[in-house]
Amino acid sequence: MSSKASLGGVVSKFMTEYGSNTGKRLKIVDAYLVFVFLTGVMQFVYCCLVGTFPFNAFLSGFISCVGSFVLAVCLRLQVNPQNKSQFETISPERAFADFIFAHIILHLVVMNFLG
Amino acid sequence: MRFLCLFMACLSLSWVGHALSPSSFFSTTDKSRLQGVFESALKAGMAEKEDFPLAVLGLTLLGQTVADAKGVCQKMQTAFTGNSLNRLYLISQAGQDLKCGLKAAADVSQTLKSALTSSDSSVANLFYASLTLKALGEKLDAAALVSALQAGLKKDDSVANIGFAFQVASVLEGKAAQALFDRVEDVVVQADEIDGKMLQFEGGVSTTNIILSGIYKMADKFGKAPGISKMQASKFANYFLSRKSVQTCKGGYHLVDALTTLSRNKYHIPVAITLGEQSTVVSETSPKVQVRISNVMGQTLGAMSVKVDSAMRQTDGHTILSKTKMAAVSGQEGVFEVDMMSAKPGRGFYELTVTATPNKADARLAGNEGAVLLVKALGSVEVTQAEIGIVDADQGTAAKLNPVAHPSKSAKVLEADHHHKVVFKFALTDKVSKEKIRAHQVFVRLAHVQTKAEIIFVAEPDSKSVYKFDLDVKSKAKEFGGKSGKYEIQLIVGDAVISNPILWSVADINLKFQEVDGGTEERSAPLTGPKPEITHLFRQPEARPPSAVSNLFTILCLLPFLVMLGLWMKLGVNISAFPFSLSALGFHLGLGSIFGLYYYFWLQLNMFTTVKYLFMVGVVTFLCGNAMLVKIAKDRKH
Repeated sequence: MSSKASLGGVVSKFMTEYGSNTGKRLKIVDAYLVFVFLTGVMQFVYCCLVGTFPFNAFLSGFISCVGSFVLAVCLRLQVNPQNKSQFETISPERAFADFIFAHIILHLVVMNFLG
Repeated sequence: MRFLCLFMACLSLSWVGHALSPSSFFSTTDKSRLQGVFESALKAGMAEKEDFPLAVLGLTLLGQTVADAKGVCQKMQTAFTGNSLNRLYLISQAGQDLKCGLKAAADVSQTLKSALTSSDSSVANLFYASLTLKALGEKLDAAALVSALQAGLKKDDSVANIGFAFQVASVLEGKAAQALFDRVEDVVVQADEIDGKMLQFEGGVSTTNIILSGIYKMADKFGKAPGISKMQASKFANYFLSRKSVQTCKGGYHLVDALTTLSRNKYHIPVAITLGEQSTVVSETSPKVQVRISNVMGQTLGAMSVKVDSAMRQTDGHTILSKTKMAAVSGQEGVFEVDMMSAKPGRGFYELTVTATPNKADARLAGNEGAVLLVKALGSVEVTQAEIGIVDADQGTAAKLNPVAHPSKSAKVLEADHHHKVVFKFALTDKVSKEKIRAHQVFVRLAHVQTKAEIIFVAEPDSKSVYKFDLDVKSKAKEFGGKSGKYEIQLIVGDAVISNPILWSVADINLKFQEVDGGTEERSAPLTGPKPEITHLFRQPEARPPSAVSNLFTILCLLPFLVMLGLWMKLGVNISAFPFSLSALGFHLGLGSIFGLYYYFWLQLNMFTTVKYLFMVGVVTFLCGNAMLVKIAKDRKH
């Protein structure tokens, strides 16, 4: 009873903290992260239930999700104002450019591997 | 210990004795063959080739007259020019044989004489020149020639050169060449031994003959026995006889010359002890072994007494004859015979040790003792105690077999099906000794009467040498291809030492097999036909899930995108702040076209074209993106 209440309390507190203390831009990135994460999970579920054939298609789709997630996390770290001290020299625009560039390279490889 | 040594000595002596006696001779067949070789060389008529004079020499040695001697002489006189000493030598020798009276032109004489006087003449040239001059009737300076030969040998003392020197020494007058005769023993030890049976010099028939005949000619000249043992003489004889099949004039001439030397000289006459043509096999119908005693040219050696020291079976050492005298065959000189079958030999290969002793002692004979000849004694066999029958496969009832007698076929046709076993028992007995024997090859053959399809089984003897063949119809059905019907049973007996190999149709049998799965007409693939073509197999795609499942998951994968859009809308994302500048437009269009390009890359383009387009679009996108972001950054700072 108490644990359930406290868990609910923690979640609701977390949500309010998140809602009030996080910038809008970061929230957008977080939504993107959720999208990528769920897509990857879906592919994985499909792979477990049905099978890996064709394996290279599954692999490239899954890698695309993982890669996008990692890149998005990097972008989020770099544009987060709380981390400003660590990324002094990197402006949010620069981070975004890096993010786009890395995406282009990543998906060239993914497309090649997709077959 | 001493006894053992003695025994070993005896053993080695007997072995050497066996190895030494030539077991063949230069027969009339060999003679006519070589004669053909020589005559065809003469017919070719090219006197400038070395075959021509060699053919003349060979024919003379064989005791044949040369047809059209005058014409031959003329041809040789025409060819007696030039400075090839070898050719001049051969033509001069042939001319001497035919009494052509060849004349040397001035330049030829000059060539020959300068070869003799030149200080660096080789031994071979000295030999050619001196013997040519000798044949032309010139006188030779013995002392000068010997010293030139010694000098030449100092430079090169190969066995061939020593042979040439011997030949020259044998024609020189006086005792000047005595020093060369003393080298005989040194040379003979340089001969190569083959299998302990033959001796030859490096260089083959011609070199060996030049040395050997030189030695015997010198021995004649100096009246002294040459330093060759009888054993060595026999080994040389063996070597030449092993080269009886020479095809060239040169080889043929030297072969005949050597064999003539070995059958006519005063010191060693190797004795050829050979089996008569029909005598390699003895059986009841031809019980006698004939042995021919001759020299290596096949000529008889006078009255002899010949005896068989022993006749021993190779496999077990069983000896049947010992110290048995062989009787001379009337009408054929030098041929002796003995009835070997009267000694009741068992079947097998026998080693006959034969010694020939001349009635008038002749110290020249070599290898006339302990010659070993291989004779095959055949025995005849018969099939006894043969019985055949059908028994139950489970052996429940005692076997009841019907006797059958060779060579008649059982009148009763046997019947057998898959519950039965066919049993065939028999023994092989020697007709004479009545002992049970084992033959080398004993087979039982079953042949389908209609199709002639046959199958052959091996019959194995048991410990008492009784052969038993049994055929379990059920387990052997596969080997018969399940083909039921009437089969003929035959017994096949064969052996190298059986005089009457047997093929006996024993009986007919009706075999009934159970149906074999997959039909009976299964044919084995031909061995030599083309192999089936090999085609590459791509990996077979695995079964895909039903399209409903695939579509469901496609939607599920797209759902998170909607979730994101929903979240964004909840956050109040909008594009109201979109900067409608050229750079912003270019950047978004560029990015869009890059992903569009990737889509086409997936569908049809290859990597090279993709990278080319990507580079072009990428540059535009980069410039636009750079400009846009710089502007945004500037706006943010202000």
